[in-house]
Amino acid sequence: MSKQQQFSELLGQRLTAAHQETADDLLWQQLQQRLDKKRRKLTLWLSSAASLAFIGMLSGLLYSGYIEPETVAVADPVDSYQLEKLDVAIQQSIIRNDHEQVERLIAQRQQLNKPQPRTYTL
Amino acid sequence: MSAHGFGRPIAPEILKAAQRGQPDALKRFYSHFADAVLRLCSGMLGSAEDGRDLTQDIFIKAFACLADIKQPLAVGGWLKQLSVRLALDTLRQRNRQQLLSDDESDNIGDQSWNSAIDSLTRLDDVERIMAVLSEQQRVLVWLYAVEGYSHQQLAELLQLSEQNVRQQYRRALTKLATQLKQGEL
Repeated sequence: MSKQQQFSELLGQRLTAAHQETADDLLWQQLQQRLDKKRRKLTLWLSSAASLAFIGMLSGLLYSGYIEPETVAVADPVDSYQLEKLDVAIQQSIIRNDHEQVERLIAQRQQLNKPQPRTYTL
Repeated sequence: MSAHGFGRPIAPEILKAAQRGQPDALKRFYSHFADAVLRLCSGMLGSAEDGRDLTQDIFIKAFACLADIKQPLAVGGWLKQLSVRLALDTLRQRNRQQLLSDDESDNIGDQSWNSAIDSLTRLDDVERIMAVLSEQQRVLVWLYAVEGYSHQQLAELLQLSEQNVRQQYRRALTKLATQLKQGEL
């Protein structure tokens, strides 16, 4: 081993011995504070981005230029007024024991209450 | 890679939990390597206070990249590389790196080396003599003599030729030896 190498090795040993620093709790606490700060920043950034995205989507839906039909009228397949009249008539026929009339009215009601094809008008 | 505890293996379950960001595991990961990182940083930067600041930066960076680690045994080496790289970046940002001037002599005789070795053995505070080196020379000395990097590894790390690294290292040692021999410290 050359003298220079000896000197180099001795220097390494002396430097190693001179640097025996240990990481104390304060260092970890400082590190933790910085990590917490970073996490808070990230959370704030993400929530801001999510809010902006939501607002953007909402605006897009509201102002996309899509025109809803002005009116969509659905013709009621069942005339509820007529049904009510029939129900009253059925009850009165039952009270009168007029079975034929009851059967006739029930049939009429069933006929009226059948599902009708739906029609739409714009 | 075993210098200063970078080579101490960490339990795979601690690493996995740390990769998931569990606070307890992060603290255990930190405790496992903190001394090694702090010594390397203080040694390379030549200041315990700067070393503490840089240690925090290194762990913040390390925690953010932990998920990339697949092999628990490789963690120490990876963290050491990260620490060295960030320490070099810090030095570059300070823009205090100085190159040795060409007129510095890098040849002294065996007698002078013997005298320097004696002086170094007797020296109380080795950091006092290190103060005569430029930051780049200090980095070279620290990484070669303490951390066990080879000239070739240093050349790759510092993006210099191996010959240049050898020459600069020799000049750094010569500078230290000359100062010791002259008894200026």
